Amino acid sequence: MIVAGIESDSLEALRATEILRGVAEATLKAIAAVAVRKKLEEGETLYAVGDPVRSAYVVAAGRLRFILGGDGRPAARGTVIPAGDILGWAALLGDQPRRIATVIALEDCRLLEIEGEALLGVLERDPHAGYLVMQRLARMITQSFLEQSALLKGAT
Amino acid sequence: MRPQGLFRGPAARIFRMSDRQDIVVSAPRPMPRRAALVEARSKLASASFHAEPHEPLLYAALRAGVAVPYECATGTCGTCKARRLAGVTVGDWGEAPGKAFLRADRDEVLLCQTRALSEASFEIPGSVNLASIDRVRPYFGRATVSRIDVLTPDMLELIIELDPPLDFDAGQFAVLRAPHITGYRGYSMVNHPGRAKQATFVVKRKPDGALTDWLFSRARPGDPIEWFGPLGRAIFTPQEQRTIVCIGGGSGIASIISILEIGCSSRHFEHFEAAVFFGIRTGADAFYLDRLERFAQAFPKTLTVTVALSHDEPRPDLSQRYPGLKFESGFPHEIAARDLAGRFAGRVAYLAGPPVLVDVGIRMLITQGRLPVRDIRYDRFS
Repeated sequence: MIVAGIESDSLEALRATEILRGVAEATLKAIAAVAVRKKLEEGETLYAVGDPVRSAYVVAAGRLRFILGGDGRPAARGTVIPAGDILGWAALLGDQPRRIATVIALEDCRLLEIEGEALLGVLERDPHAGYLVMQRLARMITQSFLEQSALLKGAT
Repeated sequence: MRPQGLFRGPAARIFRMSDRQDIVVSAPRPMPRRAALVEARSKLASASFHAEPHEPLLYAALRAGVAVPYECATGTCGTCKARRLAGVTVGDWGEAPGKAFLRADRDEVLLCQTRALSEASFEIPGSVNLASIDRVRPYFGRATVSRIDVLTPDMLELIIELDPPLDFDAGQFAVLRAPHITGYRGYSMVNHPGRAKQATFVVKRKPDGALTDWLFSRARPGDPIEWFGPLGRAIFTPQEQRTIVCIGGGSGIASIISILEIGCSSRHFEHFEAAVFFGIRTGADAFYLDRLERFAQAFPKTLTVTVALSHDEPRPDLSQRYPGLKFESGFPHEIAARDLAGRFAGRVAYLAGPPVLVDVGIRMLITQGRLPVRDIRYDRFS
């Protein structure tokens, strides 16, 4: 189904994305308009360490594996990213030119690829949405930092 | 659970023996205990190998030169995930953490925790080239405990006599198993690489760890151990002629000692710098400082060793006793970032130790060190 030129399943995927919860429908439609649908087969790499950072990805269906570091082999311990999550959000930070992780599809996946600059442009036009997204991004980064610090303290 | 008394034949029937075990019964003809032919397919390649009934399929594949992706080889990381297409198999560790990456409804298994009871076929996800490039294919061996020395209250050194010798490169690991304890655990070799008749490992006590509990309390010289190795690709060879940086925490110093052994004996450090950062919690957790001092004294101009105390200030007597070593307060990756700022280029980095330390080390080396990914080496098998 097409909603005014936007695929309704893209809109549905954005509505189900935690970081966009509470964002106005009009802004979600604007994000959907700049999003590109992407399919990934099981075992395919979405991006690898060292790749240039351009886009963030919303997981519409399937699970992916996030592997910090990595040396080109599909072989490292990682984290599972489920549907409803966003990944590759370094694209929203501006000062992260290269990926520091590798992401591989654990199963066939459907994603929405959203160019970082385009997404920031949409959020600039809706400051409330921009505030919500950046607040959640800051929370995610802080959470990840705190978890890592706690783990480090107990590690050696 | 391992099925016992498995039989097969025409007109097989299934009897439910308990909630967790099905036994297929027909004519009273025991299933031959012989190797099963197993096929592995990826998008790029296919290969077949024979697997003994007692051996994990991952080990059978690697032994045969079929390069199935793996990292820990012990059920933790999930890297050896595959989809079963055909065959009868049995899983060894129901609660393996690596199962978080599987979907049971798609018949996915961890090859390091699965054995084949019949001819079987598996699909390996992704475009994996299954051809092995290992210098030495891993193999099984037996060993006996030679010595166990306590290094700290939660760390011991295990020395075993190997039969046959274990041929390995610096940085590699082997998986060990005591005959009376289920499952293998991975440990890096500490000693000089090559064809070793004896291997030394550093073992950290794990809460509720059956193998470490046995090693810390009941194991004695002469006790048998089974092993499979060498494993891992975080390898150092002097032939590469590279400057290096090593960041290790706790028992992760094991593989770094092996790197230093070959680096010193080959006089590699006469021409190439090495910076070692060894992370421990407090001065009381220190071990192997005599060995590190010996390495640092042998190449004082090119080899620097910094002991990073994450929960303690360094006592002056440590510096007096080990004048060749530097002692600092902090995490090893942070001290490395500061000490080598602007001097990472051209180095190969080796990371070892707790997974979180490896993670933050990788992040630092990519973002601050600007090292290319191909020059960051580690094997996470904790």
